[in-house]
Amino acid sequence: MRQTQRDTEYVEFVTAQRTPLVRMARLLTAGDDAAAEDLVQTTLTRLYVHWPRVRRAGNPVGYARTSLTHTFIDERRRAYSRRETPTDLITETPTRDDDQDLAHTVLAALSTLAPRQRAVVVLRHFLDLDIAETARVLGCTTGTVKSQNSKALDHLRATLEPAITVSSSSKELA
Amino acid sequence: MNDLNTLLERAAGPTAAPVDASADLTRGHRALSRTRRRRAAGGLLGVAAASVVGVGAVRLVQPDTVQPQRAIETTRTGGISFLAQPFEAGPYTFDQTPQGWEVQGAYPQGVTIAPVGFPDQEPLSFVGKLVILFDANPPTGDKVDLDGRTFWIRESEDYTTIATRTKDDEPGGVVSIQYPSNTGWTRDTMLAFLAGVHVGQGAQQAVG
Repeated sequence: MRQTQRDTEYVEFVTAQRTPLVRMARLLTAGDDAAAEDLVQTTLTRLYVHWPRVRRAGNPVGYARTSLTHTFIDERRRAYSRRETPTDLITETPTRDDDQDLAHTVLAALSTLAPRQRAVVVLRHFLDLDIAETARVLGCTTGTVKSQNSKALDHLRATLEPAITVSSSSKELA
Repeated sequence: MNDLNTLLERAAGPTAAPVDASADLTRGHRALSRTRRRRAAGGLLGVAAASVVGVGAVRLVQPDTVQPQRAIETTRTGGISFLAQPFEAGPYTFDQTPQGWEVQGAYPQGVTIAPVGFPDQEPLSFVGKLVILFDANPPTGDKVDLDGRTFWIRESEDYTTIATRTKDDEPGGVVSIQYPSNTGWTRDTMLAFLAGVHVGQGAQQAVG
């Protein structure tokens, strides 16, 4: 099959950015690897369909992150209508500190956050986006980002401590 | 003390993994073909609808009291008409009926409406459908005031979501509609549709 310019650019993008997107999706889904893969596939498929627009926008990574976040929130919103109310408690208490257990514990703590709060945490503290950019991705105000961030961090601390003490440097105040 | 960024970095998984972009490319090709076919079919449907205005099939739940035919008004947009004919679906009632669409499922947290004969008959699968949801999430998006109520509109590539707070005599919360952006429905039409959605006492907020 003849590869178009769209195909060439797209393959280049996917090769470079798929793994970072999977990592972002893994945090958004709190470690549900199958759901994370679904999110990434949906996002990348949309990206291909809209590639001319993505190219014009000049920021395919930003476009993909935004699309991934919206897909995640929309999916979770749909899921809420058919799911049991999630518990606020995680079932496992962190006792060991090797990498695998630490990752598991952090993901379990993330799973107790509401989807938008989880998205704020991932955008602000994993992708290192500033408040304005986070608000733009989520389609909300900077005030909402600040309040959601604050609530999310309080919740994470309450869930993780004292086994794990969490700092977030100056971003809490920003 | 653990920096949150470090914790998230560890939890996110490996930073290097083999990537085969061909599967994504194949999915992209298929999706683009589907989109082009849908657009072509949509154009044909629009032409067909223009010649048979008012003859669409309505399979939505009929109201207890059938409205006199002369009282039914039609709002037409994007090839799909809305009849001023109320219907009920679970704890929700609607002032307008989209012609040629049917209720696939009504549940305490919302209602799923899809074109008659839509291939995906799963009520909790929302792709390509008109979905009404009731929850407590703060509405976001562009604010629009209409008839004393405030609506928030959020448009993405594929879907448009319009939300508003429930009325004083309804259970407290936010009721929203989500519909595919390619239906051709205008913002005004869908604002009017949402304004005509009434949340009954049996409704329950989705959690989130």
